[in-house]
Amino acid sequence: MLFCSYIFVLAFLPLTVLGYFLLNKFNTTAGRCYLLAASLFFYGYFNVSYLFLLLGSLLINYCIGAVLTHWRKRWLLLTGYLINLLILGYCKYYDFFVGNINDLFGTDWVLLNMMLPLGISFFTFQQISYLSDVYYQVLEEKYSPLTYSLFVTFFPQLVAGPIVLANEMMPQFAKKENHSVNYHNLSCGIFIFALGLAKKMLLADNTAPIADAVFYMSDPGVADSLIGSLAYCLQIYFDFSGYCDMAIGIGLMFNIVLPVNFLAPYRSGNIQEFWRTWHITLGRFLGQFVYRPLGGSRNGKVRTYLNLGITFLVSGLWHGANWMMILWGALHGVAIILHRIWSKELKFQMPKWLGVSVTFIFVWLAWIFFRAENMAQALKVFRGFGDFSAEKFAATRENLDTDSLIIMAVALGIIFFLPPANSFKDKFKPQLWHLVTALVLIVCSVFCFNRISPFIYFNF
Amino acid sequence: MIGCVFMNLRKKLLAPIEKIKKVAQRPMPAQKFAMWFMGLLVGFFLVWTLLVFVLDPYIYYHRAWGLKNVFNNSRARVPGVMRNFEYDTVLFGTSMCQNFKCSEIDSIWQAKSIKATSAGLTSTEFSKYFNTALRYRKDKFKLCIMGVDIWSFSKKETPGKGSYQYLYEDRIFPVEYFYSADTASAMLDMIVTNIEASYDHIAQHELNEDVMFSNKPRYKFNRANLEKDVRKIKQTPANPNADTIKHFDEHLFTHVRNNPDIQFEIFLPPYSIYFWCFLRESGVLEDHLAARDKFACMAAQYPNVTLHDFQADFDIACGLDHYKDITHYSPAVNTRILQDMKAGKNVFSLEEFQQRTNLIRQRSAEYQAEFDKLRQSGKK
Repeated sequence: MLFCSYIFVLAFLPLTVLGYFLLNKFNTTAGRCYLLAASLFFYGYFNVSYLFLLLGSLLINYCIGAVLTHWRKRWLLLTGYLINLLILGYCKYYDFFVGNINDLFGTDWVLLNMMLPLGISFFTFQQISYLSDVYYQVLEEKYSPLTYSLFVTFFPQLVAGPIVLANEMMPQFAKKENHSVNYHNLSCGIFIFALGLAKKMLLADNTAPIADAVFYMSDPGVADSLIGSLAYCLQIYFDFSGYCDMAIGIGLMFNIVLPVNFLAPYRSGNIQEFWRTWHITLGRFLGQFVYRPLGGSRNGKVRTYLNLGITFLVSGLWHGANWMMILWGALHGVAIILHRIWSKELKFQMPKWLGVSVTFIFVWLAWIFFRAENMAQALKVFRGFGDFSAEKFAATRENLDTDSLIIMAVALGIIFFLPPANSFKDKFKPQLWHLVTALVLIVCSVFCFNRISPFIYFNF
Repeated sequence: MIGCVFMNLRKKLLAPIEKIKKVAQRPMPAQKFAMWFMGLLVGFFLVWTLLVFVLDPYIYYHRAWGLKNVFNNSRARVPGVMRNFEYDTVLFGTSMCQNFKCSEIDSIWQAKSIKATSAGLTSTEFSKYFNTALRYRKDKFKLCIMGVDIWSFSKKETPGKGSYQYLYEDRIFPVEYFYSADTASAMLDMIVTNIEASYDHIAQHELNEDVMFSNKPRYKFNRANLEKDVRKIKQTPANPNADTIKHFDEHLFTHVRNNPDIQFEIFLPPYSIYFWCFLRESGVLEDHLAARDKFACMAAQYPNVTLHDFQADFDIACGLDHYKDITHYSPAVNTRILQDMKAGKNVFSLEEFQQRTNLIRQRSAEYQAEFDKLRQSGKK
């Protein structure tokens, strides 16, 4: 079930919120069981067979966690990690590796051609964080299987994040005060959900066709490449941050505070700042489970650069099992290393406006590799940047409608001049304009549901 | 002094904005916010649902109540017309058939007809329209009049495919119909067109059931417009290929075989002679003529099909004042087509049909120099 679907907005969400708080009035366990059942229904709605994988993974990890609580053995923790990574690797990376081996050695090993189980990267990472929290005794108390199941399956963050950690989520599910309606959280949640929904429906889905048209064009010119790649840059931001805002908004309706995942990333003054504000929870996870175990910045400059490079390659690979994603990750890795050299070693500082421009242009161009299905498609778009022929300009002018340009201008205005949706979370005081804005955005978005495209991050 | 006046003026002008700002930023208790939000949202959707049901712009449940139905955007309205109108005859076709009048079909064929015409109608869409008519009027549906453009059977893609699928499904509450920007815009169009109809003849035309789904009466049919089109035309029609023949069978003759009680009166529309010249210029004339002959051979196998050939009717094709562009003819030609079809004037044996194909080849060759001259002047 998509957040931006009739069934979700008009039936599932109101019924789940209502049912949860009504049941909680009588029995909090019943309320939480209801929320768990609703989350499983939400997940199973995409494909029932995925549900078995999710439940299996849930059971294995809870059991390992339970043993680790009483018997703290490092090998057991590593076994837990390995099981999770093996499941993820089999479902997500098997075809990629076998395909490459086949290409390289001319072998003919059979590919799985399996559809990637939705959200597998997200719930696997969450459960790895749980095992780690149990082993390092970060969790203050022992939680019931119900609380654990809710931590993993809570539907707002189940399929595309944010990637939550056990120690920030499980206490919230267990906390008694969170089991009754909190109208402040509810109204704040409604407002942030409306902003996220509008980001997805009114901005991301309207810029998507512009980008698609250019990436599938046989011979784009400079205007096409500029507009198409910029459209994708806007699409991916509004798509993913819209999803995260919706998740945070829904979480708040249930009195669960999900971590912020975006903080105006395109306004970053350098690439390091970009990665502190873009998909924050992935950065946090990779920092904790890849960069730091590799040694972080503790073993000299060269090792630090190497560790950064490896972390970004892993980030690329996490985004998708193909070489384009790995290349995209490598590009960001190189950019981070270069930034570290010139800021820490050479003590070079750019003026803010120049830093923002350089970072934005780099991120924008790197998205071309992220979006392209193969190298040829990416190079075609890059070649377009050098094609200034008058014929191509005329063709672009003929094909492009003014509405698209207006939407892109509005989207850019929102990115650079309006406060990010998350900023409302901490200082939200309901006002009339919040009410009107939420109503208008939700109605306008619902009226666009008949032409939705799925979220980009569902693929990861 | 001037500064003071300016300040006062500014203050007065900004006063309403300040007032709105003050009201908008007035804090409200969170519980009130949540209650008002739920109440207003539920209230809006209830009222909206009722409004869509009453106006029913795509005729999903019923003919319009109070207002008149608008007959544009045929792809969205043909399913509704088929579901809610009474008929025993359906006219199918592309934009070449849009200007027929139901009343003329009714009087000439003694029938009760509707039109299922859409610009660029593809063979798969025809098949979908035909099945819909069968589903709703299986016992009454007796006569299928159809204009066949070879190129419409050559297209692989269906324009707007999938976007109106829900209109073909018999659902009690198709949610995507009720809550979509498209329906909202159709409702607004319906209200505006009904108001405009009191003084505007184009709006009246759009509300007229008799000419449903026809072009707006703003085009002028004359030689000058045709020549203008010849000068600027770029896109060639889809070229017939192996799929075209397959589509003839899959999407048309299957229905002919499965419905022996339905009479199929099929005609090949009279394009202007310049159309054939254009095909020659594009190097696809012979492919089109071969597909035309193949179509005639296939049609001849079925007793419930009568094929009427207007493509070699040079009174029309060479009468250049009948056209607004290289293919589309005036409503007067539509009337003549209906009368000639009923009289059986353009029905030929296979041998005669092939001779007429030759005639198209010859006559268009005679006009080729004139056509090329027009094209050259367009390039300048």
